[in-house]
Amino acid sequence: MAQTLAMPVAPSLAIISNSRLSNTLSVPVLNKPKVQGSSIKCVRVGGVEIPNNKRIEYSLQYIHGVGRTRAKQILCDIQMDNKITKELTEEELITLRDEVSKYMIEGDLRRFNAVNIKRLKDIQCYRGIRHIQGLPCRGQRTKNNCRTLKGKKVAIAGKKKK
Amino acid sequence: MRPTMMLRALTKQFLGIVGDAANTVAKKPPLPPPLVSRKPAFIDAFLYKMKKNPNLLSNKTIWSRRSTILPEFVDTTVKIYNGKTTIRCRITEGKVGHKFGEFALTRKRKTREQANAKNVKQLKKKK
Repeated sequence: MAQTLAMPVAPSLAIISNSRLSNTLSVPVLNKPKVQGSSIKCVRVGGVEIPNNKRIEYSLQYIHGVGRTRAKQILCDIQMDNKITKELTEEELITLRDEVSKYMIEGDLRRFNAVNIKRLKDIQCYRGIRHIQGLPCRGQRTKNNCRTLKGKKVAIAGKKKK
Repeated sequence: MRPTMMLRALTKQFLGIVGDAANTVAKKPPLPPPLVSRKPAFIDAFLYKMKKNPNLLSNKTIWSRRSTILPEFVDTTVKIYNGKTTIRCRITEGKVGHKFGEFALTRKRKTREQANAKNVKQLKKKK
């Protein structure tokens, strides 16, 4: 940053004695570092980076555990306008981080869900056994569906349509 | 209390604890108490009699798969009917709130190899 700022000063001093056209060329050089500086800045809320170029109500939804309803609730609790994320000041970011930390998000939420599933597996109830076998737990059909859990289809020898 | 109700209550309790911590800082009103089911858990008449004297429940066969496991039944071993035979099952703390029928499967375990062998036999018969 210091080098880029120091560089255009010397040519401008030298160019002043020559002509005005070259003097105007030095102005865009000064603007470039500012643009790069603002784009480099990123925002971390709740332990994750959220997008800079979106409005805060939609940037918060990139946090695991925050959806549309909770994002609106957070902004309503701290009386914050729905501004673009890069326009937030440091005080507003601190307030936002404190409010988001009140909820169970990201790692805590994943651990909570894992604990519940482990309890079902330990007591060997029907849902736990379905979790162990990697099959759907809510009564869906398994003859022709649930490929997300079962994976790619495997051909069975001798099975033909008649 | 149903398992989903338990999970809901646990989640609200978790939020309540965090809310209480924030209450000391932000001075917000405390969150309402967690939701508790007003309807009593369903049990059949046979189990209702066993509720008062849990010792009688040991080694009894249970045909009522729809009944809820109550805290009084913990640490007993029962036999749950699965439609054909009975399956022995020990009731632990973690099973409270679930139904008896969840711990006795009604489907036969059938692997892919067995199905494959069956098809091979059919093909041989046709030839």
